[in-house]
Amino acid sequence: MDRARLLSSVKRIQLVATRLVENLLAGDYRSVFRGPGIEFDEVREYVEGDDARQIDWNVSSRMDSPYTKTFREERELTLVLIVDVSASVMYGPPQRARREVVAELFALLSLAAAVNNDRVGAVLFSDRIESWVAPKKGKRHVLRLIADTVAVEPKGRGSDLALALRTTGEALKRRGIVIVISDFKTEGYLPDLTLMGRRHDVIAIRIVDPLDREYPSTGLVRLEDPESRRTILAPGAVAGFRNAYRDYREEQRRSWEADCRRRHIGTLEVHTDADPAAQLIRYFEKRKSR
Amino acid sequence: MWVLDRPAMLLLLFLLPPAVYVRHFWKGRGGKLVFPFGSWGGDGFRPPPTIVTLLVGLGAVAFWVGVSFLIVALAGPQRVTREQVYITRGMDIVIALDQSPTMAARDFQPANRFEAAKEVISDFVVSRENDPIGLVGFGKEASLRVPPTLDYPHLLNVLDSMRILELGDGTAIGMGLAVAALHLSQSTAPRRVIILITDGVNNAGEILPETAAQAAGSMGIQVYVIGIGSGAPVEIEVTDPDTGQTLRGTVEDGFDEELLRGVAAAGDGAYFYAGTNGALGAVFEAIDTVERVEQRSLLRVQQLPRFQLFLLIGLCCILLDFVIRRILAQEVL
Repeated sequence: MDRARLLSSVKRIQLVATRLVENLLAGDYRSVFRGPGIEFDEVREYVEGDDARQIDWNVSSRMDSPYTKTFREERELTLVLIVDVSASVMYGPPQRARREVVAELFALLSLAAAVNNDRVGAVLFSDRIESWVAPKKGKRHVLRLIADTVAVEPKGRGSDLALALRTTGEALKRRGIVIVISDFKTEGYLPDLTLMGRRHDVIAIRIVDPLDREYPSTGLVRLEDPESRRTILAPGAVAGFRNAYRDYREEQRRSWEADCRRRHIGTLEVHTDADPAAQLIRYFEKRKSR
Repeated sequence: MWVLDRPAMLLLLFLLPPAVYVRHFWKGRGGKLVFPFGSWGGDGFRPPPTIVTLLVGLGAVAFWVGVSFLIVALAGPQRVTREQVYITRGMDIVIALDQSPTMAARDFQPANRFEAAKEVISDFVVSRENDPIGLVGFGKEASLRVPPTLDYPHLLNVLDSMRILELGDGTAIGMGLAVAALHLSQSTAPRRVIILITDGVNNAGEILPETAAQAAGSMGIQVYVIGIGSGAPVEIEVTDPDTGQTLRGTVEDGFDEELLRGVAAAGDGAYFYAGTNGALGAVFEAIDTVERVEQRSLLRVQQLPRFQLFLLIGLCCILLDFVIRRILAQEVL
């Protein structure tokens, strides 16, 4: 991606995400992830309808008119976004959709956290940790994170989710929110996911392409896996082949869902052929009402 | 014999393994679609074996076999045939064989004089190379069985089919000689030879042996005369080819050696006496050794290109691969 396109892409995502977050997502995000308690916020003049129990008598007598204390939820939560930038997510221009969906989800979630005064950190991983940004507050920080994520040029090809989970777990001392955005075309991460699920609020967001469900009925073509560089011969015209592919994908999806559910980890599948923001907001609304 | 016109082209075969590697195994080869079917750290999707993938594999094998055939075709396979061609004419030989009943005398192995003579003649014919040989048979009459020819197999066939008594009861030596000489008279061969084999006296025919021999001699034809038979009384057994009757008897009268010597002398040749099988063989060997003309021959080497076959097989193999991939499997890239 050249610089001009990159910048415009960052700007667009930031703008769209900011509007969406302020109008729709921030409240839901706040409701889904609650802080541990409430804390004193300020004292203001009593208006009719306020709870009489909250009147601050000391201030009232000093000011000679009734004043009431207000409280707010004790927040200061930490959100860490673990983002898969392996070759299977980032590959090739025709599949730009996956990359954009990942960037958009990242922007929406981090902005929602920023608006709610949470600290946001990010881990980008492939078969190594591509970048690690410690959680910090502030919208400026978040906007920089988004720009970095959109512009990332990963050095590795594979996707070692276990490593990313372990790294995050070691860095995150207090209870926080961990959101994994990945296509979950990786294995061996379950032990680390279990540990993560015990200590933190974890949501797994799985990016799904139409090609991740069905193999198209095409002619013969040789396929190369972008991560392992392994090649197979794909006779797309053969129904047996397409069925085997569909069954494999379905099995992968089912076992992923079951694995997460067993560990009390929220699961969300985001399809690249639909608006990711809508899917995210629907998910948060559903979760809030639970 | 098969040879290659340009054997250096076979070195191209050494390029095949790298080519196979580049086409089928090299990581950077083209014709692939990036498609994430794998799973990092795991197996990923393993496609089930299908008939189509099997056929495509076979097609790939056929393709490389085809390429190999094309390389061989490029090397120019040829069939080389060598043939000896005589550019000089050989000598003409006519063998005149006695078919009178006395030839059935059983003093020669395996059966009788006649059979022994036939055997020796066959050996003689086989040992010659470029000399047209003819065959004359005589009994009471004489006839030309085979004019001088290089078609030895035919000659041997006819020789084999000759029977005693075919030409009547009698020995017309003069007629036999005359017929042989007649058929050599028009010959342009550098040397002309008659070999006369007989065991009796001239007792039939209108031409005297000496006259015929003189006529032959005047035409420059050499006459070798071979008298066979032991001279002692021998029993004979002969079947008449016309009636099927078997005649038995004993012969006592030998041959007219004086006459034969005279014939040989008149024909500028030599007279031999062969009393046994071995002697008869030796006589023919002697004639064989003496009667040689210098011959010049060429070795004609013919090269027949045979690359078409290899080209055809090679192209068919490559076409097969193409048909499998493009039409059967509908290859896209």
